[in-house]
Amino acid sequence: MKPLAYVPGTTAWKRRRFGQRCAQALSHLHEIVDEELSDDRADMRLRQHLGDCRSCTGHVESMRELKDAVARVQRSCDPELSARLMRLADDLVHGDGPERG
Amino acid sequence: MSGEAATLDDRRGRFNELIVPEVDFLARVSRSMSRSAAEAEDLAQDVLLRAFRSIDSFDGSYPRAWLFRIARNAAINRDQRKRDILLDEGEDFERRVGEGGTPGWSDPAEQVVAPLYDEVLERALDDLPPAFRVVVDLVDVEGMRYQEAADLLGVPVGTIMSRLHRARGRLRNAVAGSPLDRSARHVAVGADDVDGEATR
Repeated sequence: MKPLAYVPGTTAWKRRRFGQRCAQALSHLHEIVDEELSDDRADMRLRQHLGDCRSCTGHVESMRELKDAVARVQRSCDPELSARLMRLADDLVHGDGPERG
Repeated sequence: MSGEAATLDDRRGRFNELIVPEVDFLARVSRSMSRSAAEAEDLAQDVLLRAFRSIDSFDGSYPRAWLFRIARNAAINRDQRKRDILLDEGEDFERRVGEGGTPGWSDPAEQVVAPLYDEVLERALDDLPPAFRVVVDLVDVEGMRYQEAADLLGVPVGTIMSRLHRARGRLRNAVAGSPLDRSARHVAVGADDVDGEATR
């Protein structure tokens, strides 16, 4: 006799399927965060699972926060460098910098 | 007066129009391709000069991609030159914390410790291999699609995904346990568990 987890419709079967979806979602965590999922059926099922699963949604939110933090840190990384580059660019545009190579 | 002067004016005009708006982008990618702030500045200035000198040969489409390629080639040349030199420029961590706290942290307590989190994260970004850091920069900061980043770097999309997964795994490990580590709530799945699992 098959274990209950392999008998469609049983609670154990649903729990096993749900766990499989979680594993799939986590293996595609970065594509989810980067909105790189496609419109195919497998990805649609992942989206649907995310709507049902608080744990997976938590992982996605956590990774999204890390991504946002990276962007924040990198954008504020070195305003002085940007300013110095802008001065060099300005010199080039207005003829005070090297004009020929 | 000449045609040469006119050409120089043209060059300046095109440079001003196409390249100057991308200076911030250049600063970011130079940083992501370098091991230190000083190295990044040298690279960025080198790229700017190269761009100015060769602007005549640029067709004007996709200035970012053009600048990026110049930067990547310059970085490769630089690294080849320095291959035998032990780079140790010290702990060059200029910390620039915005006045009045860090955007995105609304709680006063978070505003106090958020800079610490950012500092840990910034250091972890510095510690990433340049090949990983560039991908993080293109996707997370510049908002590129995987395919765009792959085209720019001349690598398969799978490589972009793999580098991104591994880089983020390292970053998450670095900030794990630091103040305001929100990912700590979800440490059940470690970085290595999701690394390299781009199975689609």
